[in-house]
Amino acid sequence: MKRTSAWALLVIVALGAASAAAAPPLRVGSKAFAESVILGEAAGLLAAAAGAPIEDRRALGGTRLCWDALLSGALDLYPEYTGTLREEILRVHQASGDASGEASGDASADLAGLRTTLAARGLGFVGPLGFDNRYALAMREETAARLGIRAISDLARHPELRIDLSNEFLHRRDGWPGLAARYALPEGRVQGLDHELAIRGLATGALDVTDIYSTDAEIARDGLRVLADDRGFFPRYQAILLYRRDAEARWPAAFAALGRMSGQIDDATMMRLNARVKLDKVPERTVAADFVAERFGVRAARTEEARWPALWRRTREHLALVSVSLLAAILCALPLGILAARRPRLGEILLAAVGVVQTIPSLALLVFMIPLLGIGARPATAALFLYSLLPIVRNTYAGLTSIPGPLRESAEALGLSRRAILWRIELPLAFGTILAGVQSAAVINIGTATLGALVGAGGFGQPIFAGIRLDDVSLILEGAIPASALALIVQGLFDLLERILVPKGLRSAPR
Amino acid sequence: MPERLQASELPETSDGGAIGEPVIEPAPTLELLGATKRYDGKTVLASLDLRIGHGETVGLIGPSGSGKTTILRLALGLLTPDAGLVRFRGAPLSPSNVRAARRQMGYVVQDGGLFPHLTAVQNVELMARHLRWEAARIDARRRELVELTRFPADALQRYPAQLSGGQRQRVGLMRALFLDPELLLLDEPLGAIDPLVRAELQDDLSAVFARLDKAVIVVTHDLAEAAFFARRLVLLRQGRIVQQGSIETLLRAPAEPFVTHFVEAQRRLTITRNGGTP
Repeated sequence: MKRTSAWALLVIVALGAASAAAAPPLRVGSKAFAESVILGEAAGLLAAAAGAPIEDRRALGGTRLCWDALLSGALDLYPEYTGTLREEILRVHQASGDASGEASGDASADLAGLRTTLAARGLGFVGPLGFDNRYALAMREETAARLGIRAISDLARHPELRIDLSNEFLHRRDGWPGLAARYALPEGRVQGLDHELAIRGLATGALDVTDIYSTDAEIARDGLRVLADDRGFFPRYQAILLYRRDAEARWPAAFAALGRMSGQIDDATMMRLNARVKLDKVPERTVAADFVAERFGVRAARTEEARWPALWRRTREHLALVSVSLLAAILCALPLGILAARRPRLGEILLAAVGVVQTIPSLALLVFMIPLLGIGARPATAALFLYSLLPIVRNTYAGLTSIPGPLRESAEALGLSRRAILWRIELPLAFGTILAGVQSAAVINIGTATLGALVGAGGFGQPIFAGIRLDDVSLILEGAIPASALALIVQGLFDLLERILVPKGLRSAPR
Repeated sequence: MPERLQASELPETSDGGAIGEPVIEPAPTLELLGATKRYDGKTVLASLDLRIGHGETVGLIGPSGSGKTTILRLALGLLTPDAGLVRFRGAPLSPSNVRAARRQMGYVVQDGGLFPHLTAVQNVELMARHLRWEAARIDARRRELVELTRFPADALQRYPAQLSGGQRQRVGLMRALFLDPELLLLDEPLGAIDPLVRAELQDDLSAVFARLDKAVIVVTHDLAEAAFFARRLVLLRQGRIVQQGSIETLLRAPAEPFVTHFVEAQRRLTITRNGGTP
């Protein structure tokens, strides 16, 4: 009897484990800035406490990337803002016609409309969470006071001011293009850069005006003046948790827990949480854990990863990205290079094509990959593969075409087959050049792979981008130093390989 | 060098036919029939007829650009004629038989044309290994050729860059002869060799040709060298045969003023080179 129940228990446990393994985990993402990461972490902690296994996809490269990932099912949930959804993603203009932009009268109607629009796409949202994080323009207090600038409309009188904007804001419909039109601001001389760097640049005086989020912790720390939106351009940006409804069906208990976040975070709370991360350098996960413990009484089971295991994990992730993409690139680029050398006209087209791939900005290439490959290591590997093609194709082509004509003719005159000429004569002669191409592909690849962190592929990019986000140099170095070391090691290995593998006769100086 | 010139003072004819060979032969080793070749509108060979019989050694001479090397490349099928025909052992060269034909030809170029990534012995045995000859057969053939070309056996493991010019040329010759070809084609074989080694190599080459009893074409711009190797000389100019026959025919019965002009120019060179001895 006892034996039977013990067996039954074992079977139940096994079945339970099996079904848990079978149901996909809840993939929680966030955008690559502190506030988004904190909200994502808090949501993950609440959902985990309610029994959902969490797959962490924090700090992804941008709005478009998160949205695409959500639609393709690579993400189940991430923090978003209503203004961003309407203006940038769904492209429906807010109905509010009055200048203040804070017309709360029809805000609830707007939200209901948004809910309907999203439902049609199989999406829903938790919230609003309580706070608004709108875009705003900010200046140093003393510059603004000296020039008497209080509102955005005052900027038109000061074309000499240096306006540098975050890259995303620069190109968003609800960002600079619309703003400049509404306020008749000069459109030229505006530079784009990273949001966190822009704020730092503002503090150091490298630039005069930039866009900020209204909950940025730096507003208080750096004494920034937030310019009044006196022509009511910026829509509301109420924070919500955007999610897939099929995930809600999978983990109803988790979503019930997430519902508790609604209306729980006001502007002051969010600014305080941001300040703990950005000014006090407390990890986002810790800040989020403290918040859910204090507000919801949920004890976080998850802890920050220790330094050395984290380094080891990142090394493995990075090496996997680099080696898989490089190997695939070698297998593809070698035949392409040979083909290019054999058929000069086709070769020109091939070289131009792989050259064009090289000119696609890496983040754009990563975003292109998301609908096809989701997020994580796969899109990153695919992008790295494409980037690795050019050096290998080009060097294979160069190595083969630089073989002296008489030598090639000697081989033909012997009566060797084309295949034999390729394998016995041409490839060995071109080997050194081809190897050099693979070497530069590998080294470039190691550097570019850090961008994989923007699509959740992990690797050494993770601490680098976290460090940029948090203005933490030691964190940046935690990623940058191993990445450089890896590049140097790989370079050295290839030098060694060349010494071993390049035929002796080609190394000693002729005569 | 004068005594070498005497080596070619043998019976002569002026018609360019086979000398000292049976007049009727089943098929000449190599025939060019009306072979024409143009590059970029410029005619390099103009309807050229040339027959090389079995065992015959021919020296192709003429100024640079006269079409000497083009003839060799046509023979090897590295080029196809724009008009006319190339026949090897009676069969017209075509894409389907050119590889087999090349394996019955040996080609030696200036400085050997050796593959720098292979050692001397690897260069020499390349084709035999490609054709999967048995090891014993390869060994035997290599020993034979090392002896024939008087190549220092201890240098076999060296790379081309570690060999002297003369050694490289001997390796090139061994490689060309390895499959025991019917036709040996040499393009300026001594062009990159310094004078002392050159004389020695000339003697050795001449001895090799004599022992082989194969058809040989030697391309050179040096009249004396051509005459040393071959009884039958073919003088080319601008893609045409100006005259063929022995050195004496060219000297005593020049077909055109150009022949005398060419011979005189060569003589002056020879005199200068030999310090005044005619």
